[in-house]
Amino acid sequence: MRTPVRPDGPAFWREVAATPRGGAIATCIQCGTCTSSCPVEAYDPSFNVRRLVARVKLGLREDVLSDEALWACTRCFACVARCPKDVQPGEIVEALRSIALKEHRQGAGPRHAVAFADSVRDNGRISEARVTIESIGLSGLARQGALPVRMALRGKSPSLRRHRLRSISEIRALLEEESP
Amino acid sequence: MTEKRKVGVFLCHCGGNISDVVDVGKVRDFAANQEDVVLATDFRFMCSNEGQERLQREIREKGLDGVVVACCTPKMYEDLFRGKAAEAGMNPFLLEIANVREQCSYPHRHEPAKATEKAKALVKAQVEKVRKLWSLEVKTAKIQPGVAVIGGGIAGIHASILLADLGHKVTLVEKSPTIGGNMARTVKTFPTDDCAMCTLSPKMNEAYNHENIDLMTYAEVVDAKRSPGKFTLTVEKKPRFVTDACIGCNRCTERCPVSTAKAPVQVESEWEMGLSKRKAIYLPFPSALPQLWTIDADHCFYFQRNHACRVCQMVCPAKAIDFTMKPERVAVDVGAVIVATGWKEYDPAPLAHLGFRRHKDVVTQLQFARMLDSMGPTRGEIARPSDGKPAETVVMVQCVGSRGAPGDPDTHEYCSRVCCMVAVKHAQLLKKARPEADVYILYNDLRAYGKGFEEYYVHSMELGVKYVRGLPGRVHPEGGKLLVDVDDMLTGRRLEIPADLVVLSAAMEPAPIDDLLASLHVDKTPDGFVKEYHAKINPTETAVKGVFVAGCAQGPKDITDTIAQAGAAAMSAAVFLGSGEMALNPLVAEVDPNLCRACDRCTEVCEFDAVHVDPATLVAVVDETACEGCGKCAVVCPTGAISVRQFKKPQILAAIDALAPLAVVP
Amino acid sequence: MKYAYYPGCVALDSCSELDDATRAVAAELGIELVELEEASCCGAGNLQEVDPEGALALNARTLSMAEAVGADLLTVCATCQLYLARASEELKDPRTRERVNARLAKVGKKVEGRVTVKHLVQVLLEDVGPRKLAAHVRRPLGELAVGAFYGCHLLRAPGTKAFENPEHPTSIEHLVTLLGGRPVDYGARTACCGFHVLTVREDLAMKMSGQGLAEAKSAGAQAIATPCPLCHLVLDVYQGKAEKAAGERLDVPILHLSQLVGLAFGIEPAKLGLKRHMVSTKAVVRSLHELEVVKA
Repeated sequence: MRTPVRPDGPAFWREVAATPRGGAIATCIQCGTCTSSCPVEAYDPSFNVRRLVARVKLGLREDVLSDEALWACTRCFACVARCPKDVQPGEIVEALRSIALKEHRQGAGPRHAVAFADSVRDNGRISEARVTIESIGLSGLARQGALPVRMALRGKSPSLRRHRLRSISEIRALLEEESP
Repeated sequence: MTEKRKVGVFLCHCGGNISDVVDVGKVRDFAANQEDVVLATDFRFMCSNEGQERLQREIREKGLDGVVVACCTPKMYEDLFRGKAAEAGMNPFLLEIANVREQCSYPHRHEPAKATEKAKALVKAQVEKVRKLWSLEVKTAKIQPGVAVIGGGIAGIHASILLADLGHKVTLVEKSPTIGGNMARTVKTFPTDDCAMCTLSPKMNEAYNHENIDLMTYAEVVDAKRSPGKFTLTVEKKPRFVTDACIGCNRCTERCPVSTAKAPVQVESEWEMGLSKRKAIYLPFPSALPQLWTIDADHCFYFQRNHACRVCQMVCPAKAIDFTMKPERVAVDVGAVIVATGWKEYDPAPLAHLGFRRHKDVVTQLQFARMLDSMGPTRGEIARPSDGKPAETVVMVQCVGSRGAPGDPDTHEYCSRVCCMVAVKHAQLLKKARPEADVYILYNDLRAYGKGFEEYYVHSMELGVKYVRGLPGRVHPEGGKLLVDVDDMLTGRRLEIPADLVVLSAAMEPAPIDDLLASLHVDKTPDGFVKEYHAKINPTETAVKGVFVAGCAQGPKDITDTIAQAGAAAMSAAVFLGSGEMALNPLVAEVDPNLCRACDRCTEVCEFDAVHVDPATLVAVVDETACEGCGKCAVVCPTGAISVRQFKKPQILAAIDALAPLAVVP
Repeated sequence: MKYAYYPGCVALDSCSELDDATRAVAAELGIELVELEEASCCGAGNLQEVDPEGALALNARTLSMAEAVGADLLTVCATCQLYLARASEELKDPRTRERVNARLAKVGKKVEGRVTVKHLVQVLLEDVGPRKLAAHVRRPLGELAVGAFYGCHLLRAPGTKAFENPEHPTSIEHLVTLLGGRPVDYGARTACCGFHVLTVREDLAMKMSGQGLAEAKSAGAQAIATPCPLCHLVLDVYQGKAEKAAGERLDVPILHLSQLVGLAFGIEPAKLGLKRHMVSTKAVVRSLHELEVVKA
């Protein structure tokens, strides 16, 4: 049953257009070249960047920001390369994720982004191991099966030790006060 | 006809259009064996320079007295080939076309063998007919100087000015009290957002003041008669009941009781598309030309209630009111007529799901244009007609009455071409005036095809106009708003948009001119617009020599294309008039006085009023300019006295006999 | 030739063989690498989402460190290349630069926009040049069939100047040819491996990389060369899972570009970290050992 929706954020598109990466959203003519180029959509039609842009322009704010599929984009930028109007849909995804993170939206996607940012703030570089574990959790780790062990045997495992840069205070000073 | 003839048969390949299906060589060889055929030849493109030169050379060298060209439809090149034949010294009416393309290679392209046999039969039929043709003389008639332009909108005005500048005397007839047409209502024009009146006014003034233009407003062409080289139009000038003494003070309008709050008679303003009322005495809009007030006798108390009210006359300082004025009929003789009667907006009431006329807050684009006009019925405020509150959310719906089902009596099958741009224009004008307004356009396809149109559309999105791909299911009231139900194919969501104002992009319909067209014997295309001679290569002439068409009377188009077409029509008319003389088509009916017994059967069936029995001689006489050569008279004539030249019994029978073996299935 | 060397995070962690191989190749070419040891992570897009202004400031700091070294910045990871080059472009606008420098001043740094960010591929083909490269090839690759896996960020880097045509790139094939290998063409060479959703949507990454690997294999590739350690992680470490998604055995060894160059230069495989792979590179190394060393 498709319940009709009412646009809840008529000025949402302007919010996105004001971000550093979302500026060109107004010129999208919905041609579909982006989705036609998208490797993700080919496997998972629930991520449709053309539709995402349309939903933003129409003011379906909650609909967009709560959509899990927002985090399925792999940043391949094929859409950006081919968009005839230079709308840069892949960059709009980045802008939308920023807004979602500011609003503390939950899910695997935000969790990963936050884990990554925390790692940078903590060490200056990321700790691959820490970011992975914080992103997928222990259950996710369990689902990796024997792979972590086989990696360890090949010497391929990321380091479990902390390698904090000496100038970490500089790095922290340059970042925002708190992470979402 | 037993004398020997010398008939040449020329087969065209048409670059493959014919020869890819029909075996032209076989048809040629077959033709060569026909009686009286002294030459059968084929060529790639008979219509080309080389093709025509061949035709002329063979006519001269072989002294041909009959030619069959097997090619495309006679509508394309019959005149051309006949003209070339005449130049080469053969009477042009000894040339016939066998249509082996539209009537053979095109429809039968999947059956080449059968198509070839049919082509042979078609060629033979024309050869047999040509053997029985004789030369016809072409009579000419002097063309009456002068042009009548019917319709005083931008098309009529532009064409009139051009012709008048060239020195022609132009009679410009406009049905309403003012010239200007629909363009004057549009406020701004896309894609430049020029003020419509600013671009129109100078032209209106020029037409009004031009010494070669006789402007008749509040006048209608009620009849048209053709005679050789001439059209005689009967123009009925309606009485305004206001004389030239009018100084435009407006006191009459202020005092007129009609349409005041308690008045028993309320008149909707046609100019304001029904959004406001007007008085019985009125000036349609501030810059109307001529600047003459008009009394609408159908709603005036003086006329409708036995002279009950004379207040306008009483307050008029210039004594310009004259209730005794009468309609006047004048006869206008011209050589050419340009039909420029324009368009009217479709009334969307039959589309019940959209709620036009049921809900006050559903309006059309023309009505919206009137709202945008700062001198219009709402002083430029885009407000809800129901309660006057500002319209915060406006939803525009495209394709209303256009792009409908074939055969649907309530809608039109065609696309009205301009409404996409009108919606974009109105939406972005609204956003510019009120950026906080939420404006949606619900569309099927967005047709932004012209110069500057794409950029205009993209700019509208930069202003925040929202585009929904999908047309609405229902518009229904709820909680003081009009909910618009629409499935948006772009977001994949079903939407419910709470609108304050719904604007319908209603179709463009031709102005109602059936009587005029009937009197001019001009046809309509199935969509109701004036039928042009050829949709691609000749959109400004009609099938009636001397009658031209310009602007939306021929089909929906914007102002740019209207002006272009009006210029083309003016040029065509000027060329026609400039030749001074027109050739009369000899392929019309003629009467053998020996056989005619004045029974009147032909006069009864003739639709063109082209044949009458002369009471003095008791013989039917054909008016050759009025006769269209349809042949109805020949069918009903009991003695065979009347027949159409080149379609006489022996000629037609000869062709039928040639076709019969193939056409009659045993 | 000197470069401010920015290995990024993964090249120093799970893909440290990339760092080893790059240093070995640089030494061979006489290129001085001054590592920016205190440079932060480039953000990889994730930090940019969480804290756009902070991420820009961090990358501006990295660029200022390269300016202090007085050399162009060399990256060996396509994602680092994208975000550093993007930052560099953004900082060309005086207002942006002013705003960012105001923040950098807090840590006593300033960026002026004096250095260019280059990826190893660019440095090898443009700065070093084909002639010099060829001159160092002591053990041509013996027509080893190598499929390039460009990955996304080298080809499609929004906000930066394109290095080559993203639809029809030729740089890696050119490199392979210079090194004596035989480049293999296949459709997925410009496709995405899915690394950036590896933790969030592993299923997608496996389908995408499985498809790409299968295509390379059926086109005849004996090995794949990639300019990005992130693609390397997916294609190598997760190849087993990708095989399941593709429904066929793959067994395609994945080489970092510097490893391929190093092999052709005749550098010892041990120095190139070729044992530190999940999909064995033994077959490749063995096939090259069987060839004679052409030049001393």
